[in-house]
This record gives sequence, structure tokens and C-alpha cells, in this order.
Amino acid sequence: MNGRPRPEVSTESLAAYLEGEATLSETAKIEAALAERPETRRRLQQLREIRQGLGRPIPALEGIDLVPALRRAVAAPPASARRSRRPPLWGAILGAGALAGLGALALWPRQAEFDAKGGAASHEDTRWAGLQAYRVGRSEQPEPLVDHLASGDGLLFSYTNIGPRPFDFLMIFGVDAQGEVRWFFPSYERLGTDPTSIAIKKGEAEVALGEVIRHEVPAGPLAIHALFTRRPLHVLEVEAAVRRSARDSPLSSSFDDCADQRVVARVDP
Amino acid sequence: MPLAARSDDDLILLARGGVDLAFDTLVRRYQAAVLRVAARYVGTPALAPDVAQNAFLEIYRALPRYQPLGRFNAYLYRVVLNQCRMAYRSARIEAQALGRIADEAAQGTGAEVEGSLGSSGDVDRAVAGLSEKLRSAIMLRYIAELDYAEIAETLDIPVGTAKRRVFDALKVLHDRMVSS
Repeated sequence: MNGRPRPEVSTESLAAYLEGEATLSETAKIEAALAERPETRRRLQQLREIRQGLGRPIPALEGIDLVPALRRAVAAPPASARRSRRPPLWGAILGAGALAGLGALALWPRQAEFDAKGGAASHEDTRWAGLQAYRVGRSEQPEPLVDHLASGDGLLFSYTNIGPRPFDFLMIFGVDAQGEVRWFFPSYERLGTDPTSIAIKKGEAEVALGEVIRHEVPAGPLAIHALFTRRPLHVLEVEAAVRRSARDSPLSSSFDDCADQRVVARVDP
Repeated sequence: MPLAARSDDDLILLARGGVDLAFDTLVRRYQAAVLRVAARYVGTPALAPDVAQNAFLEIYRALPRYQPLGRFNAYLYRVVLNQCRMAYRSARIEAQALGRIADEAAQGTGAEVEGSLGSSGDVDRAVAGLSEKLRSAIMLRYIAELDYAEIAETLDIPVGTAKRRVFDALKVLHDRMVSS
């Protein structure tokens, strides 16, 4: 101490000190000033109080949950819905309990008539790729799709993609009794678009695709295809392949290195 | 793994894949902070739910374009601040049209010099008088609780600039609150 008063510490420097961002030399200078000057100590305390005030909860906002309002906000159906009509994102039937139960349901031993074909992919590859389908009826609880579903039932899917050469992409769609293609994944809702396959997880089993999808499907057979591929396919090229193929036949001959897993069920009126 | 334990990016990818509960989880993870940022930025809690809802809706609609690079925080608050700016301007235009703009913000009604600072009303009035740049920085630091790197990314500025804005904002708030 040489008896001369230390220079005033700026409020910006005190703010930096409060944030732990002051340099070593600044810190030494500030701490000396804090030791000597009540005014500096008071300013530091005031900065602390301002900081606390900013972070303080706002009583009027406590307990607000935005999720229900957000669900309503996204509930409007697309203006130009085409073949696929999905329910509101958060209005989907699947609740927490249903999702949690999905893993157990996927172990159900019987599915609807099941057929697996692979194009250039080897049998070893295709045997590890699988689709599990569930119907969601009025009870709003998913049940394994065994051999039939009602026209208004929702459908829920999970897939398995394991083995030495798991696939990269997946499409799930149905071909109804009138030959119409009903898209589940990817969503195909607007004319003029041509969505592609969804990317899928490798090396995982029973991966839930948690969106319940409802189509107004005419009574009769519904062939649900899960088309596993190495490259993303476009909706329109797959629809063209469906039109070229015989009804209910696998699509594996139309695309290279793919696996077409089919579940055939009957839609009740 | 339960959804609540998943990372932000995981939840986005699950939501994109159709797991609706994943987006709910993401909203509930951030909604309290987003509401507070909105309320303090716009200057009234009454507008905060709309601002926050619009921000989450924008994020939901952009799900297919989100790049999962571990920076959801910065992305979220960029969207939130944009919504805040729009709401703030609309609120000011409306208030001016009604002829009831009071210059409370510029004048401040802070606490006594020797007394305690930082009551909600004092802070709100002082924050309302900050420039947009300083207000954004201090909201991100003390309400969103972002670190300086995240603030810098959110505001697209260097980290040093982010720090400087926070320190400057604290000084301006201090000066306004103690001098009024």
C-alpha cells in the first residue's frame, strides 16, 4: 500500500468478475478494491441481485403446459390431403402406456399371412429384416394384426433390421382390394411431391414407428408391404412398380438388393 | 431408455420418425425457460404463451430439416428470439396505436440505491429499456442459462462479443436501477 486510493473498478469489470470471466490481473485488482471499498462491494452485491432477479420464476407462468395447445395447433389436416390421411400428430392414439407396451406386443407369435421375399439381397440378409403390424381399434390399445382389421382401424408398425448386412431404408405401404396404394411411411399427403423412403436404424429390433395411421380402406384384402432397401426409393417409382406387378406379388424383383416383407390381412366392412 | 433420459437430438429424431411423445417431452423440457424468456423479452407474461407456442410450432414444422449436431439449444433460442422480436414489435405498434405508450422503460422505476435490487418489476422495467442486442444476450445467459459459446452460436457472433454484451447489459441494468 502506498497510501494512494486505488482507481475505481468499472461496473463492466465487476460483471465480468461475477461471471468468472475476469483476467487474472483484473481479478487481483477487483479483489483489492473489494477489500478496500464498501462502494465496490455494494455494486457487486447489486449486480448479484439483478442476476438473481432475471432468473426468478414468474408466478403468472408457473404450471403452464404448452403441449395440449400445441397438439390442437397442429391438428388441422393438410389442405390437399391425398390418399393418406394421418391423425393430428399429438392427437395420435398412442399413449405412454401403449408405447411402453409395444415391445411386449411385438413378441406376439402370429401375424397375418406373412411372406418375405428378397430381390438381389441374399436370404441371409432378408431373414433379419422384419415388420410387425398392430391394429388400433376403438379401445385405443394396439393389438397385433393377426388376420383382419376393421375399415376404420388405425395401424401401427415396428420393424426389425438386424443381421450381418442390415438395410438402410424402409417404405411401408398397403395395396387395397381396388389396387390403390395406401402410404404409411413415408407420409404421402400432397400432390406434386415425391417423398422417399425413411432412413432406419441398423442393428435394432422392434423399433417402434410411433404414429398411428388411419386410412379409409375398402373391404377386402389389404397387402401391407415393408420394403427394405439400400438406397432411398421414391414413392412414385414404387407406385409404378406396384402397377406393373401382379396383385399381391412381392416387389423384390423390381428393385435391387431389397427385401419385401408382406403382411396380408382382410379388411372388414 | 425412457424418453426423458434421451438427448434433444434423439427426441427430435424420434419425433421425426413419428413418436409423438418425443416432441411432447422436448417441449416440456424447455417450456418453462422459453416462457420466461418470452415474458421478460416482450415485457408482459400475457404474451409469453403465444410466443412460446409459435416457437415450438415452428420447430415442429421444421423437424424434417433439423440437423442433429448436438446444438438444439442454440437452434431453439434462435427461433424463440425471432418470435419474441415479432411479438415485441407488434405489441409496440398496437400500444402506440392506442396512444398509451408510457416511457416507463427508459425512465425505470428501480429500487433504492441502498436497498435490494432485482425485484421482478424493477428488472422487467429495466430490461425493457435495453437495446435488442443486449436484451437478447442477457436473456440467453440468465434465463435460458446458456453458456457463452451457446450464446455466441445462437446470436451468430463471436464468443468475446457475447461476453461483452452480457457484461454491458448488466452495467446498463445496474445504472438504470440505481439511478432512478
